[in-house]
Amino acid sequence: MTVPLDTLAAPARRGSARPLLGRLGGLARQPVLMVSWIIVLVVIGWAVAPRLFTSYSPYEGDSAASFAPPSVEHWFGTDRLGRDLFARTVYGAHTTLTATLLAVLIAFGIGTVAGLIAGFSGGIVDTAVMRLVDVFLAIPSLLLAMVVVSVLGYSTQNIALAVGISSIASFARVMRAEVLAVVTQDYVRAAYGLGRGRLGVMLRHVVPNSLSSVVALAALEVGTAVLAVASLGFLGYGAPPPQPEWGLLVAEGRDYVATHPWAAIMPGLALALVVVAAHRISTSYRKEHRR
Amino acid sequence: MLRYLALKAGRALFVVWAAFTLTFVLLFVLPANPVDLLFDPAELNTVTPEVRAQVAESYGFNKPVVLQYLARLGHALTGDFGNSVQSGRSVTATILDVLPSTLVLASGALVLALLVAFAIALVATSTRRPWVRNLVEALPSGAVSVPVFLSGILMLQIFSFQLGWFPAFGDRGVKSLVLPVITLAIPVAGPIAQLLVRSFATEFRSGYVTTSWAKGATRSGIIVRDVFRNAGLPALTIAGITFGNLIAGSVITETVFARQGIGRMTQAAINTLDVPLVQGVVVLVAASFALINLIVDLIYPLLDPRLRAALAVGSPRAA
Amino acid sequence: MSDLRSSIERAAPRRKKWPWVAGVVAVLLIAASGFTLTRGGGSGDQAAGDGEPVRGGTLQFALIDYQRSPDPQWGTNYAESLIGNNITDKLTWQDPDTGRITPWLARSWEYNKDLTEFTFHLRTDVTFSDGTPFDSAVVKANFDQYVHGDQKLGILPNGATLLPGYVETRTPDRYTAVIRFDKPLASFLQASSFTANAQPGFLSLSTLKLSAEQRTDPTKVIGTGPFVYQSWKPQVSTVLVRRKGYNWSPPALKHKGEAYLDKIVFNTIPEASVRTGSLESGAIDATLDVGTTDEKSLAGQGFQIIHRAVSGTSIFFNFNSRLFPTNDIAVRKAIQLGWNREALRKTVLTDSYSVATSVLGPSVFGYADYSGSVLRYDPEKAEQLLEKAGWTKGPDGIRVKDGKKLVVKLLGINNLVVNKPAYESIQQDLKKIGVDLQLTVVPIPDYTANVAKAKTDWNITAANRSRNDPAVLNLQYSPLLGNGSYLGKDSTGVDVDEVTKTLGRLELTLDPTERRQYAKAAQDLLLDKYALVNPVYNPSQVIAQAKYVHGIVFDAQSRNHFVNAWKSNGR
Repeated sequence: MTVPLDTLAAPARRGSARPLLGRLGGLARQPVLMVSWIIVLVVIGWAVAPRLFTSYSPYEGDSAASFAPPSVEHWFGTDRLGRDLFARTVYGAHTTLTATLLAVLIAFGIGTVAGLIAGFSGGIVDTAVMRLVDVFLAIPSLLLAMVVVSVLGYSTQNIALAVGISSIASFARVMRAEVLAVVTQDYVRAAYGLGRGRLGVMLRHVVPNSLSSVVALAALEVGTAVLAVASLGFLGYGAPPPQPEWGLLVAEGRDYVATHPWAAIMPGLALALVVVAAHRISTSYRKEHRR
Repeated sequence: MLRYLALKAGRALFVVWAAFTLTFVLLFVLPANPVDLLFDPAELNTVTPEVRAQVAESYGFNKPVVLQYLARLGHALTGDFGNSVQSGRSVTATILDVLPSTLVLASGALVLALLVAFAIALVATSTRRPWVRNLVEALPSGAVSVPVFLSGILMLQIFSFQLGWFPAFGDRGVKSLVLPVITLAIPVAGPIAQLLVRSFATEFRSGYVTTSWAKGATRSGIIVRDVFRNAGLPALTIAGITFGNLIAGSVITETVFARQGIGRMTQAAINTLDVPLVQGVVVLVAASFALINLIVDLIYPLLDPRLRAALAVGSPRAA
Repeated sequence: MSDLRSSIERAAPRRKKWPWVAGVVAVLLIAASGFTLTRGGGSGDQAAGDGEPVRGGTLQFALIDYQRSPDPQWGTNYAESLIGNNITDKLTWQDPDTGRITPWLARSWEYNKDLTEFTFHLRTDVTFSDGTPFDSAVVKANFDQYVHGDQKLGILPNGATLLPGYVETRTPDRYTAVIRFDKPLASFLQASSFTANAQPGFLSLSTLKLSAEQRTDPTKVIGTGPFVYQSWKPQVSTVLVRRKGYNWSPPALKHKGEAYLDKIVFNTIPEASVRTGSLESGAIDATLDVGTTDEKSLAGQGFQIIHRAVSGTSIFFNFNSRLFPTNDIAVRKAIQLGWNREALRKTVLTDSYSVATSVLGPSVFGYADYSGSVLRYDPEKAEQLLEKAGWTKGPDGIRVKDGKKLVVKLLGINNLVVNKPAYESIQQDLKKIGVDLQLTVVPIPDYTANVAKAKTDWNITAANRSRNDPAVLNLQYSPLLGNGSYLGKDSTGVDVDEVTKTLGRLELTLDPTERRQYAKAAQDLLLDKYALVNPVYNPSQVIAQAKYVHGIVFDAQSRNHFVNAWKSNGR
């Protein structure tokens, strides 16, 4: 009776062991997922080797071609100084992806561990961690980020750091809530019943089964981080020029939205596509794990 | 129960105090002198040391930081946050002036966001057509993937300037509230909807629902009776986050739509290192946040029978 | 399959919207370019003269900033000075075209030979909006508080920098005020007309007794101006209504009696596209802070663009003469020569703006043109200068000397839409001659915070100073005052005493011929001999207004006065 219970306790571990070929086959049956992967891979390609994707320089403009609309030559049009916006978007992928990754890693890493420890150990540790989290949550993240950027100075790394720090608390809180829900599940009780140690139960059952919610949040956080950087740019805290950065491109382009809408919409579209694609991938990942 | 309440209230007070202190520390770590910011930057080098000292003295910035902190804390306990460095007006009056307009905006946006989120979750769970579910499930990520200021500006371009349906700025009753509320609701609805879609799906497959199926309940009956009640729980856990989203979103929404409000005022206050005003706002926001969490903490066990049982019996790890 | 369909459906509205927007834009652009061709670039300072002025009506005006307090003697932004100008009057009025000081609340004036005593003979018919008279006692009380502040009331010494060395105001009789300084202050005459930040506008004795907090009740802030406060909502709007019985606008404006408008609403709208859209949709009648890219399309739709260059300095790059590498005059000169002014004009500036041809704006008395000599684009000469000084190109194209890279750190403000793209344009050009200009362009408060550390941290501070008098050079660059180039013992190759003396002379005389010479000498020193500043462009205040709006005046500081403004529809 006890053995099947334990098998039941780890429902999360099935899908990941499938062979690669099977995965690709699965991919072909889900065109949107495939498109999402392609988008993400292309953008990673932009970040790694921008030169392969555009022959224009992101920094040097042609003063004769100021605010050229999108065309075969300039896919995304040009900005005020005649710089190719597609080139700026391609080169900007590096800045944006690094910053986003950094922000999400900080928030996810620290937040998840804090939430896990708090939820699992309870008692004084829980109180201490959660009060700290509450304090950080109590100051809205954008305001906290503004203050942090003011203290650290303007650079994309600092903005990423600020955005990451200001999101730690929400990860911790969601993780803790999930852990609290998971520890009451039958299979966890069963695992205890089987005589497993606390650490073992935590790593084998609690962590995998609580993570999906946090991973969902991380997927959203990818978008939130990019957007938070954009918002800071909008409020005047941007990366130093002429560095192209997606959020900043959108924030700068918004002033011309009435006359030259592409300057904000094209990079904005790129940004939105990546966020949606990343999210799509994470959804399918989660679904697969839930099966 | 009374002890439980006192404990929770004590925690809430701690949060407020800590937020007060944290902002004070952060603002003093800032590499700028609030006195400098009262002058035209082009004239800054021309300001004589005597003038600077006089200004610092009149704001109390010349006293040791610890004394300044204690003085501010003491006054804050009596509800007096001093006067704004920039305008000279009392912080309390300044905040009370702009609070109503933010409250209206934020509550409107929250209601709309909840409606949208529940609608999305309901449709995604109840539909039998996979493509509808896929479409609807993609909405939350779409909602959060467009910068608030861009969606606000584009909406203004279309609905105010092209179609002329709504005023672009100012406070002209309900009409001028429509666009800001929608703008603010979009990013707030995203995370709630995503969470709801997920927990609706989870609950739908869980044991008690299977039991209901077995008892012969209908699909919609199950959703309304069982899933709805139980799936609302995780949404509560992000009440605090939603509150933060609302405040942060209001900074930008209020700027785009040129509205008076807490968000925009706070941004200006942080920018100008208006310490008393920032602290007043932080205490207000932190207190509201603590209150919301207090309420959530209190009703959380009431909503989830499993958790309530667990609390009553004692946690399994005790075994 | 279903996923693909859903994603297409999500994307569809965007794609549909796109060509439509593009089409509208294209039509507007074509219309705009056609219109400007026939219309020509000219637009005067004043739009009056379209028929007989109509009385009455409310002017809905938009701008980017807001008043942080209704107190007109305090303020550092444009909204504060502009609104203050319509609430209060000054002793004198500076003619925006000639720079001459003309009467206003003072009928006439004289000064002693040392320029330490200025005697003003006041008008006798002026009253405050609470009915109390304007006289020499009011002048004294105002100047005393303006310069010294009042600690008990929380009033800052707002005028301390404008009136350095202020001793006292004597009141020999009811309508004569004698203002005394402990050292010559030629620029005081212009200061008596000053309408920019923290201006000497006269407040009633009852207002002067109020604390800073009490002055946030706008109805208690009493001036003699053509308008009085009705309401003040920070970050949203300030509403002014016509002052009944007003009859003392500056004679130079040739305006008799009360203001034409009944009411002005100053709406704060932070977003450029919203200001423009609101003007187009008719929600507002006129807007300041017009985005440069919107000027053409607005003109094309029949809106009138009026503008005036801000008098004072141009937007300048002040070189830090102590800090490596801008302590090397070759680097400073190379930067002056190293950027393409024509490209800047074409891509960033509009007809309302101009490329700087001196550190002074062309409208300031004593301005001289340096566009033929030091302020021109000559990359070859710039490179020669750098080569000669030992700066050789490194592998990445950036020059190196003694193992140190030619990296120049600039601190700027992003308050004007033109700044960032203008600096980026210069950055592009300088890179070609091997100078790595690194930009930090931030909001005003962060700029201010950093300026405090500029001596050791920044090679270049980029800003401007609004003051329509050549003595602005003394204020900004004298080692005894603003010291914009951080001159000191470590400034190699600069005779600091020479700079102090040459600039200081501007405060010693009001004789036009002498002053012109001194101004020329000062500019020679700053631009050519020591190359302490690289002027970039002349900032402008630009208003777009509906056709039925007339008579908005730009004064000598490019602030607006509305006493003369009217709407031909009278609404």
